[in-house]
Amino acid sequence: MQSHSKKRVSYYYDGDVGNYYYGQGHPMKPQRIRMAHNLLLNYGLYRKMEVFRPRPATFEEMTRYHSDEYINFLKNVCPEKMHEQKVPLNKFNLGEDCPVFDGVYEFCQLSCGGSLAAASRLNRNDSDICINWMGGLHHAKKAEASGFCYSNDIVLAILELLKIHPRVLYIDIDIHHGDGVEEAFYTTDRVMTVSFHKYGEYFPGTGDSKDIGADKGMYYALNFPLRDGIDDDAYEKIFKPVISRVMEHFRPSAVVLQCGADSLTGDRLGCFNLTLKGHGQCVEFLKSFNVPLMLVGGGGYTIRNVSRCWCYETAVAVDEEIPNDLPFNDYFEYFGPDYKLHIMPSNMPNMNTREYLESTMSSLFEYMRNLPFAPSVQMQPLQKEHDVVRFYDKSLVEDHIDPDVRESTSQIDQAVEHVAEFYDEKEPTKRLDEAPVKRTASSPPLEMESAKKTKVLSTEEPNGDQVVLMETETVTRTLIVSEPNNEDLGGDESSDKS
Amino acid sequence: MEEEFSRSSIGDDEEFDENLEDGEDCEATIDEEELLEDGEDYADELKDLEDEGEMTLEDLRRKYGVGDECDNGDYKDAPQTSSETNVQGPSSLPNELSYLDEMANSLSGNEDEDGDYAPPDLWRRQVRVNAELYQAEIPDLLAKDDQANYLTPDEAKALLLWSNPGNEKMTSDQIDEYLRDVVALRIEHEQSFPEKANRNRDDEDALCALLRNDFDVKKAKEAFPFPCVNAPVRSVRSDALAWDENECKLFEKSLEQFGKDFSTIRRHVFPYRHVGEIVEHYYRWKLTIDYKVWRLEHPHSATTSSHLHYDHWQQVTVAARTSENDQKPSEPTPTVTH
Repeated sequence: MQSHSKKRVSYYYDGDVGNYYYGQGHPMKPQRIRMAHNLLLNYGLYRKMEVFRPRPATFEEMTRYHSDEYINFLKNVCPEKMHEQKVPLNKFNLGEDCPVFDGVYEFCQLSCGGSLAAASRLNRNDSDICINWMGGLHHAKKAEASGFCYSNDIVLAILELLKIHPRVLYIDIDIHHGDGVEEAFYTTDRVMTVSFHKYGEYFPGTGDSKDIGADKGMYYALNFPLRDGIDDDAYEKIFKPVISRVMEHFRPSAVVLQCGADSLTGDRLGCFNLTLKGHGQCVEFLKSFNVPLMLVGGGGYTIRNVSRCWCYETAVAVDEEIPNDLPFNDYFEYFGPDYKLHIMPSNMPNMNTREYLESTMSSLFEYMRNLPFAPSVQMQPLQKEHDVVRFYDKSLVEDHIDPDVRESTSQIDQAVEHVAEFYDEKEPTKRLDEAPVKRTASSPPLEMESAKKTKVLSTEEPNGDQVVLMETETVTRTLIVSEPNNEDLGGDESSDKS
Repeated sequence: MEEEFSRSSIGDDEEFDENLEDGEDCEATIDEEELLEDGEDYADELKDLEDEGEMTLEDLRRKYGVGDECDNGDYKDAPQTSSETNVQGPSSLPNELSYLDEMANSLSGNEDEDGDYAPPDLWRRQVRVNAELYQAEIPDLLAKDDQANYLTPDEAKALLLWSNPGNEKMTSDQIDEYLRDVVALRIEHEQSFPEKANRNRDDEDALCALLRNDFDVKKAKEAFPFPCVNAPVRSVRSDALAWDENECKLFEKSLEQFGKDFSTIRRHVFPYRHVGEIVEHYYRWKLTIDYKVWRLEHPHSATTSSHLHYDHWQQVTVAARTSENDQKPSEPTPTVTH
């Protein structure tokens, strides 16, 4: 399954992040991100990536989703004067779970800044995978903190991706339901949210499998409720089929994966039984689709395991095998007594029976059948005349094609790929001459063609195309996509169902 | 729906009569109900009754929850029973209502899934739908011109610290060599370097210097000492001094006194420092031998205690782990709104 081409990986980290402290006894420790970063350095993974220190997000950027009033409050609130302003504190759900700590606004700026920078880099097609372990704070709501999350960097990042990408998929493997992101995009069909989480007497209490979205977003939210103790094998058996099916049906042009590490075994707040391998295989699996991918952090409260996990997943992203013996690092003692990278599952029972998992899975599949793209329409052959949505200026491309370049490395393959493209990774180089016209993920299915209005957009991507179009800088590519605020991205029939 | 149930329950009342506390009230309610709903179409109801006629006794029992305990206190409205309010009106009939609830559940055909998460489910939350209050405003795809504009790299978005895609500029071995030289330089200049650390471990500052000198090793080394490119700058004062011995002692003392309430420690002990500096010092100190000594001297100090209201998370976790077959730990819901 794993693709052999190396990905261009960008990594976002700010050295300030570890200095924020939620409060005595609070399980959320930003220090874990510093620990993960230190592990990366000592494993020599840092040099395999492009590394950025993101600019802190601005007030304006954060209020693209959040309410002005809420962000204003975060900006101006002072921990020492907290008792003086009791009323607004409750209003924004600040207090116990989400204490007002010193620098809370700065902390939000860092996590959002990283995810926003990552999103715009993916938009420019300058990277295949962008990593921001400072992000992933999936519980934050529009005007409300929740579950240790104040600002929702994921929502902001997805909003940024939506400027270029017709459809974005969000996947959440944190043990807690990704309620903030689901809520933000509950009524849109341009973002599909899929969350795997513990459900039943557990925070945040949303994420029933029957919650599937509303209005236009009906069937664009999927929830896989789980019980205690799920292990690597069982997780793999649900994650891969569900995600494959989602990729087929929804065909996102970008994916955001929230890698909350509280689903690991032995988490201070979690109750699953995953190891790094089971958790990391989700990253590996998504990587294999060759769609622009953003990895963000999230929960994770046994910090030595969180840093192990995110370090390992960084290694998966850059396709490096790293030894199980941890290298010496600044926090070496935290990793005793074994000083190994990988962790062992516990002997806790898996309360998820096979029958339960299978029946839940089939009910999710059932929901997916309502998505506009029929399950049988998996991957379209390239040259279907009426299926055309995107073409290069054929003559120009042909004039400038150098056969040597054409046959060369995978990097060039990636460079010609539009960010919205991922179905044809097998022979991408051929495409230029043999299939100047082809289908993208944004095209409506055939039978619904007539019902669609389409809009022509042509875009120049100086960066993405530099490698291949060395002598053809004037080449423009044209992209036709369904108009975003059209009734539906290709399924008027099914969305009328409700 | 519930109306029809009431009727059928009268029909074969001997089955569950014993569960009814007061038969008379029941009759009255139904009369009133019928008055309220005159002219309704009972066609479906008749069909249902017909279906019931073909059901086995077992099914009927299950359908009407006969034999189940009815917990008056735990009555909760299920989303399916939207019209039950008109039953509730005249007199309180908890038993009847519980039956109605179950009835509605079973009729909705979701009993498989419902069975797993039976009420009480106070922990449950609903997704809120209100474009103004909860949902994000979805941007349009950018038009051609805007896209071209957008796609020009925005340097201001993030500061590039390292880039060597595909080892284009330098092989990993060359980097190793350079990094080892830098370690030698650091030691020469009495900068600290952990003894046990790998000498060619990635060094952010050295790598950034290399990048900024266009991978010219000689030039990069000349730039030594390197600026700290990803050191904390906002959480600490730019002119913050290193912690002297006195301060370290003071810090240990204040930790005893205030616990890890760094905000308070700052207010009372280090008003001239940022909280971030204290946090940073704390984590650094935690790695030293001083910390171990301190821990031995203060085995029950604040750093070991699980504090106040955060307790409930652990309890829930523990409860979840120990209660093997029991899905409902006795603890109240962990993080519902406080």
